[in-house]
Amino acid sequence: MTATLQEARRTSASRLLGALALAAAILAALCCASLLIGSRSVSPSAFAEVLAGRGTDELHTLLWEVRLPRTLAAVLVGAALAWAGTLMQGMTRNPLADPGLLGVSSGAAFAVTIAMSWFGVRSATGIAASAVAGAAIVTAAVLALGLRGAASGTKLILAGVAFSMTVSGVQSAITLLNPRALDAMRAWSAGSLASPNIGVLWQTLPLIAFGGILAFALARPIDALALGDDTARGLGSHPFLARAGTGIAAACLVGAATAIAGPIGFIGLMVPHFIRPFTGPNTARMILIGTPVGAALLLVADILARVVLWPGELPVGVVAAALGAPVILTVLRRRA
Amino acid sequence: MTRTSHPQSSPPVAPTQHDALPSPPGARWRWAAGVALLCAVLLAALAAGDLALSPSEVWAALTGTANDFTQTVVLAWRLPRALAAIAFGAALGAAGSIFQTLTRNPLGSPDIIGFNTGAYTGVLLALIIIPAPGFAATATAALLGGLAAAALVLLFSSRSGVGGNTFVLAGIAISAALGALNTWLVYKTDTATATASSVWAAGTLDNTRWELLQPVLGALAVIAVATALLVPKLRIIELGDDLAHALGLRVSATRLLLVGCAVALTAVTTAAAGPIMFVALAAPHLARATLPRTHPTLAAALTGALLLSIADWIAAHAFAPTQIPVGAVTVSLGGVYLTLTILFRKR
Repeated sequence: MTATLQEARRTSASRLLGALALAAAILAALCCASLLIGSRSVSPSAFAEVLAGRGTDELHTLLWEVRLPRTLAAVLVGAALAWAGTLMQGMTRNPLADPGLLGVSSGAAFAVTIAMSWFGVRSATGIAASAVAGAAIVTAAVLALGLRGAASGTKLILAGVAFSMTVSGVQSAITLLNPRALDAMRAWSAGSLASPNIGVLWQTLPLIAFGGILAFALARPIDALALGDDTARGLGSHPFLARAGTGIAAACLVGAATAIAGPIGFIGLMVPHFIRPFTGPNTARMILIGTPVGAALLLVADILARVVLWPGELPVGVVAAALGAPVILTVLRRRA
Repeated sequence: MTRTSHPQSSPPVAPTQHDALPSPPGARWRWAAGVALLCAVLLAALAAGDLALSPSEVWAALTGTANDFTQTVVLAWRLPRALAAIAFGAALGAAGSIFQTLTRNPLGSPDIIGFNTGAYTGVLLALIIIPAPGFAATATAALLGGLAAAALVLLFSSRSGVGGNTFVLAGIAISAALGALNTWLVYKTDTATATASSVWAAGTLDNTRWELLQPVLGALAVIAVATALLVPKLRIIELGDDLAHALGLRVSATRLLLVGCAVALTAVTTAAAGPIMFVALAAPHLARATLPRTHPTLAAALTGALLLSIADWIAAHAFAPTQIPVGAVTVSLGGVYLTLTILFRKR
């Protein structure tokens, strides 16, 4: 009996490793594609030359100072959003939970708008701090409302969407009244990786790392919560600490991601749905596999954003919405 | 308790203009207060601006006894915008009331279920295909786009019905997808089209002039008459399909006509002023809370006119000299209202 169980564990572990390797390979290929594709496309042979240390200065600048930071930002933001989405879906037991749909990204973006237009914040630390503060406030509200039982499931999602709409209205009013702020954040407010703020990227790296570690640490308590608070307590986990930890992790991850790239929805929604068939409802595995998958998904969206209007480009948030809407509709149909 | 006699609990008699329902005492005063408030907002809209006028000066201009300059300012510049706010607000409020009654869903209003986004897609396509479309072409495109979006939403929520939150979520998903399509279209077109469409997309009454307003008001008047004729039947449908059948009403045909009227009201307004969110959603709720419930659609039209007039006044004057689009005001105020409604609605 134990032997079969162990064997089953081993096979599922090897399947997991296989899936992880496959996802990592796809991610690596997408990273290369992201370096090569854009308004000025680079041929693979030219890329090889640059790697070998030859190639023109112009190509060096393009690859290492424009495309590489952009690719790095996509990988970081994609992974952070996937972690946040997995944590939120696991904790709220709501298949539509997503930092974008719950309004957390909008909260972060709103805080940055206020900080930039009213308090003249321009420093990377200031932007990151205000984004995390905004994300934390909305996450706390979501958790409080969800816990009170007053608002669960679809109600919470609807409220999140309504909140996002409000924020977009207020943001457009603020930016119209304050043209200097408008210039600073026109591209950012639609969710864009076109010119990620490198300073913000370095500032938020510890936050993303902290959020990721917390996410892995929280995987087991979240699985225990699925059995109900009483059983979870019986298994030795603290439901309140698990929820508070999830809130902190989500606020750090979403705040950091929004500070880098602006509000990007739907990535956190899609990733858990894509990987659950391979991982089962095991949060630790979902977070592990979700890392390369989330990064790859945002890279795909970013590459599409550069391709569909070539040589111009779309904000990546728009592409993510177009990819994510069918997933919502599928979830709704499956539930109905 | 004076306000318990709403249509659901009343005997199944078609309410007509001379109402068969017992009007609660004070009903007339509530209506009168609503109309008086609307007149006050209208006066304020005519009086405020760079040239601040006193109420007596406005009155003189309206009756034709003021000097030429004041006449021009009030009648040619400010009156069209104020009238547009009232007419569009009333149209949106009435349409929202019809949609919410037919879907039996307090969130089932055209702005929530993707109609506005679809109408924008239609207008964008019209701007791209036809060089300089007139109002008729824009309105038709908005109508077709809105209908297509609504049809998609209905298709995706067919299994769960239109009464629940799934319907609203399907609308949100379709809106997100269409919004992405719209952004792509705006980026794809030339600068002139993009500028024209982005002014429209904000939802604004800034540029309302008589010559543009006349065809819109004409179209709205025709649809309003048709709606007024059909609305008494809506009260019968409200009693339930079976009872309505038993009372001799052709339920499906009537429902289709009513949807047609509501869609046309929204589409004409959207084509003229751009997508103005949340008036259609909030006006029926506000009407139920403040006005007698004997004529819900009329009451929603009145509160809609009030809401949009006040929002437009804020858009034009609260941040003077900068004008912000009225769409931004309604989204900001209505969004707060919607968030709180969803969270604290008792189920």
